[in-house]
Amino acid sequence: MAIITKQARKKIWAFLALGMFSGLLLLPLFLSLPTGASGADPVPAASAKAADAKSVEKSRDVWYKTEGPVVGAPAPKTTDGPKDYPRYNFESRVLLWVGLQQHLYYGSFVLAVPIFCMVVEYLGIISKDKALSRKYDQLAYDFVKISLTAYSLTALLGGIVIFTFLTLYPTFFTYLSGIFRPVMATYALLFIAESGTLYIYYYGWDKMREGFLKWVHVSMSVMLNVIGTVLMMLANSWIAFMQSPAGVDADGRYLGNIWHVIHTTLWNPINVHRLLGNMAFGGGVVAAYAAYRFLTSKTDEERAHYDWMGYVAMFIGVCFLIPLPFAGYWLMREVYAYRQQMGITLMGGLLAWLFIIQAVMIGALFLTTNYYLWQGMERMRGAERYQKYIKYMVFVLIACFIVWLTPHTIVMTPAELKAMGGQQHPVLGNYGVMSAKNGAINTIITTTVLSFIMYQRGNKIPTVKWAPLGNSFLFGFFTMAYINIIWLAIYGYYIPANVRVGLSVPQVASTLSCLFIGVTLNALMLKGAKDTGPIAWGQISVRSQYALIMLATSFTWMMGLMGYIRSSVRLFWHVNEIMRDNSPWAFTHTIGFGANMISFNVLFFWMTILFVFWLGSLGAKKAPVTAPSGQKVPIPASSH
Amino acid sequence: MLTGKVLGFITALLIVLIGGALLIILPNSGAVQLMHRAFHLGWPGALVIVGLLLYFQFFRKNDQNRSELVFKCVVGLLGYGMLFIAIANYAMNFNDESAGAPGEPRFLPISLVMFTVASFTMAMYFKGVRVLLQIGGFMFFVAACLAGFGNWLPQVKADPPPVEEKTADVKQMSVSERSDLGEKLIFGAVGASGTQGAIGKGQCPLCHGFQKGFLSERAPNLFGVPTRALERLTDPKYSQKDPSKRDTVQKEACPGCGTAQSAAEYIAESHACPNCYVVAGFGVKGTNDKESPMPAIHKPPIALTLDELIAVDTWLFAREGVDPPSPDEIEAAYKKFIPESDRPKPAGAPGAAPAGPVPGAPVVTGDEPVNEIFTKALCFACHTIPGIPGAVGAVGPKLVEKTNAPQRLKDPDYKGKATTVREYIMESILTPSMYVVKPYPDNIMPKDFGKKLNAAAINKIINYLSQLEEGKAPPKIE
Amino acid sequence: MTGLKLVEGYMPIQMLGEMGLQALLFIFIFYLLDKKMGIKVNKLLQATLLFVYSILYFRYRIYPPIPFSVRAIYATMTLIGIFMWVSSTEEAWQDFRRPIIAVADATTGAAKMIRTVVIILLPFLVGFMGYNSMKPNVDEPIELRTVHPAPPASTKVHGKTFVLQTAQSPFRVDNDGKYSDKVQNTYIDGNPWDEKAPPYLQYVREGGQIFFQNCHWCHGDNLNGRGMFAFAFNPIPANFTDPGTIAQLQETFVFWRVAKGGLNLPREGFPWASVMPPWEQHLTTDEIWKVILFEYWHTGYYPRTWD
Repeated sequence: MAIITKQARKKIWAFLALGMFSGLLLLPLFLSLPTGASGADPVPAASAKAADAKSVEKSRDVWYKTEGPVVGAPAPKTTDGPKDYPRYNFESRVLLWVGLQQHLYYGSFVLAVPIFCMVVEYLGIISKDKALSRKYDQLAYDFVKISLTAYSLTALLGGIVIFTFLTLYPTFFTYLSGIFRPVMATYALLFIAESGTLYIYYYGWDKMREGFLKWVHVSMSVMLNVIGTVLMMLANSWIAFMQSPAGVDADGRYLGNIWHVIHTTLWNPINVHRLLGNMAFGGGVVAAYAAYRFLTSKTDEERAHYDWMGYVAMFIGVCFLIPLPFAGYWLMREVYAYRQQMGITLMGGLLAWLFIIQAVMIGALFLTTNYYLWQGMERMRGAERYQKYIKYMVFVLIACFIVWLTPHTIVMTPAELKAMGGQQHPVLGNYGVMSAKNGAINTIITTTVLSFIMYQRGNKIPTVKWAPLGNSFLFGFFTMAYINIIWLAIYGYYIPANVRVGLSVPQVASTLSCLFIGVTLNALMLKGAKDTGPIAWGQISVRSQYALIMLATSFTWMMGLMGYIRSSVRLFWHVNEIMRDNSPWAFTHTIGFGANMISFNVLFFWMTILFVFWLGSLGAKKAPVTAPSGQKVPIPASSH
Repeated sequence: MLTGKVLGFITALLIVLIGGALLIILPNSGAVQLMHRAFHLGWPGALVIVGLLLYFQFFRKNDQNRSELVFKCVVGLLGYGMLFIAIANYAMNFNDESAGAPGEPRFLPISLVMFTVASFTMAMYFKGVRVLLQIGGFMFFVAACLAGFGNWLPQVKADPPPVEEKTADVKQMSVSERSDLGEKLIFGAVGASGTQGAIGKGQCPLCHGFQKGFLSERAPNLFGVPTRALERLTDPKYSQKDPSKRDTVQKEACPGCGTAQSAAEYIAESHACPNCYVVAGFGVKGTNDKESPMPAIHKPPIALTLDELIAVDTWLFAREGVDPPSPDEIEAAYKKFIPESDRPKPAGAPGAAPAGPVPGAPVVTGDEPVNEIFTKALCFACHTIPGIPGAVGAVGPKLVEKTNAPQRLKDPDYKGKATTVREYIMESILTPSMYVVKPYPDNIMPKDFGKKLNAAAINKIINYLSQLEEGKAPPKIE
Repeated sequence: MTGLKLVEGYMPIQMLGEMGLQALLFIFIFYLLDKKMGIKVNKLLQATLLFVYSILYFRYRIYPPIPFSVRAIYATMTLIGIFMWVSSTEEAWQDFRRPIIAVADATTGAAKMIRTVVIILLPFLVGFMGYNSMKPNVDEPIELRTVHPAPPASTKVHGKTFVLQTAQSPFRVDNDGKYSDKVQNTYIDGNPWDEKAPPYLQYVREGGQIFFQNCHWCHGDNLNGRGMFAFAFNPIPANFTDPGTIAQLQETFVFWRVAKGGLNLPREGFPWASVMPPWEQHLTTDEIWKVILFEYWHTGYYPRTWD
């Protein structure tokens, strides 16, 4: 009892220290904001004064529709020429694209890894098993080590981006920086704070290994993440402003309220979407790192360690992948609410084909995840009894993907069109609409959950008394879910669209309840289950590791793709409806060009990050801790 | 024996042979260009590898690994060549899609495939970096699949829409931009000044002719106005010295009237105060040229803004090759004649308001209320129509048809076919020359209303006009 | 559910059902061969058979024929699925690899011969593929037509501006004359020729008259895009009974398209591939709304609404 209270006291002190520390570090943020943020309230007073003086011109916010004093200059009208668009003998937009994308990749990796560190380090602390605790701690340390090199690269790339931007789009940059001046200053200060914290966190790892100091150390990782998240949100405010400007009038004149400029309508959806996306991406990169180390491993111990690491990273990545579509849905909703036209350009118009590619990516991610889980069964004795179901699951997945990937607008030659007798195919046309897609993707996710449950019980035979009951309940539950999803998908054809949209709720509910109830019930059933053998970490096929690499590459590609979609939906605007892009590159590239550029960015990132990995392996050749015995390795879902 | 090594050698030889054959047979083909480019990019490295190969072959005679090393050099050279052909393909076909850029970006994924093949081939022989090469190759493969899919789909490049109308200040436009805007205001489109019937927001061509020799019976032909304006100023009727002696009906307050000194001021005065000076022969019939049928252009229903008037005047000068006065001069001229309170506020940007209909298309749709029909079809310019704001024209008769039509039908001179009021009105709109009210001259009213108005619109006009009675309140506008 | 009608032709679920049955049959056959008759069929052979069969199925079973692009997607998916299946367990994977490894290592005379043939043929195959992709093609180019491109934010018809996001059909009204998106559901089986029919049905009738005076020549008596002139056009006119056309669109979107016609489509909508006239030149605003009302009522689809 005494020990627990002591520990609790330690925790409290640690959090207090953390609070003060982060408060100090975040001070610049609060100091710089009041100029604008406080403007929200005194505006009436100020404007009254202004009316008296008749000197301050007032104007109306394009989004918030509030009146405000005109502070900034109007958005410049650019003309195509070296004054507004100086250039090398190359498309400026593409240069900036490459720079920004690389910066973003590294940035999100650097932001995601501390989150992993935090989770894993915390797992290490609360773990009662000493060996396992050390193992987690070592894993977190490994993560941070990788991210350190990446961190400096991020800063370097950020600098390159700023200079490229400044050189190639001086007028636009001047305008943006005129509005975002306080935000940019805050950003720079926070960046310094982040660096300081990161270095203390990394170099203080060994010093703060025990007791109270360890808690301080964990608290620092929390703080690191808070600062990182705020940094990301500030950076997001720029792109959100470009897409859905607010805080300026129709001429682009800044109205003195910085909070409006930051808090545009798409800011929060983008924040959430990016945060989740970063973590999924980080999981992918770490999994690829583990796969790389696994494949180059010389000893069984190493193989076991990196197999385990890859599994954990993949698991975290997929955990964040699952809520990602919902965040995306929210973002899309807000886009539609902001400008319906923009939404249709994305989903049904010019950029719709990019979403087809995205659908392919989602397919690749889920198939790969399933594949990895099936391969994982190989390292468990006793999992053979589930392997015979794999072929049926493959069929379900592929059938669903056939529906999922059937495009609404079919690419065909005019001759084929004639043979088909119209734009819509009488059979396949039905797969092209929302109802079918919803059914397909929900079935896919449910099947993935099923795979995971099988994986969980691979080497265990439930011994609890109610096991038969539980099994039949699980069986019934999944059957009901499948029936519900498919029935609603068919039913959706016969009802109005506004009702149909509502159908996705019970479908998603089926999927999610399968996920939560199924996994929880399964975990309960496996309590004290009979082991048919330990998980033989390291005894996994090479194919599975390539699946991890595939997962990572797909994540990277998808991130590039979605970023491209989000950015190019502004079409020919620098700042949507405020500042027009009059450079020669205001057109929207073809899909193929986009795909080529994304591929280039992805490969460039991987070439450099492999180099970073290699550098990491050059550093302290600490032998990884030997793999713990199989029983102790937790399946993260059950330990959360 | 076909061992791996022998196979490798044979493949290398084959590739070299095919490449060589291509070089000789098709020296201008794309493949040869590609090889040239690759060679240009990668020859230094290739030279090093060849050097190494020769070194191993001839200077390491005693080394037992010699054959192994030589073989690796050959394979390395092969992979290196492939790498640079892929890079050359990238360099040649990278196309930013700007106009006239060479290359076919859809070939780029082929480079990725070649990278993949090169990586895996090398991985077979270079054991040390095998995993790295395999991982790299696999990533190239994934990227090649995705990029290939993206390129396989048909491509659409979307150009930005044309830059919107310059909403900038007229004063900041160049002379030609300003005069284009003027032409658009007068004729509805840039370059439409030569088209018969073209008409814009200013509605000028309804009465004025603009080209030499064009029919212009309702109002003076404005060809040559910049020079003629100065002659007009010396006209005794203009009485530049003492405006109060003018004989014209000056209905509205007009501060500086009669004091125009330049062509620009004369045109401005004519726009702002048509009654101040009426060109002989173009006054309202029966007023002995004391009253002008022209509405004040800065007031509704035409209501051009100052900026628009500046543009219109600029065109009048610029189209004849005369250097137009600066916008500030024109503006000053207008300010001279339009009192502060009367000056149109620039509601929107000039030209932002809908320019007139396209020549030849129906002017109205019939859906709008009847007063809009009268305005859009420009009836108000010539006729006085009770109940329609701004319709005080005096070129044609007053349209109180419930009173007039029965009298006209009884007129012995009436040759038309109409028997009822409604028929009479319709006949008058469609064939104005069928019966011309005295003392108004024939051939003044345009004969193309049948094309400009649809049945619904004409129906509404008839409904309204047939209810108008002399001395009684006009009916409600529908 | 009064509005439950079956979609013309196949039920889409039928194809999936057929696929499932065939997969089961496939598994069952090889199960019988293996367990009951003792014939172990190599996984490579099974996989090849399955793949070839699936290609034939998608090519010849489904009618009207599926365009190549979609079949390519399906074939790729099938291939991936087959790969996942044969490599799901180590045992199956080794079985699958055995013949390939045997050929690569040339363990037997036959294998050696196959290998030699493959090695000789491979460059030719690559060359042929290269030639094939480079040679000039006389086929009509594939069009990436966006059938429902992004509409403008607002459209001006007969001098009046309609904001697409907020405009409503003035005739989709309940008996009190108020806009109602339920009214179609209420009167879906009503009789528009009834003298005492509610206003909504009266408007539907008027819309029908306009449709049969103007639209049915191309869009067909049954609104299925097969009017008497339909096959003079390429592509043929839109089929409103298809769930992918008006059922996917808002009423205002349809209004914009009817009023402005094909030539006003944005570029990605391939305006040159539609000859629909701008109906605003022939119909009044009210008539356009009515004809749209009729199209929805007749097909039984509901206009899309923004959630």
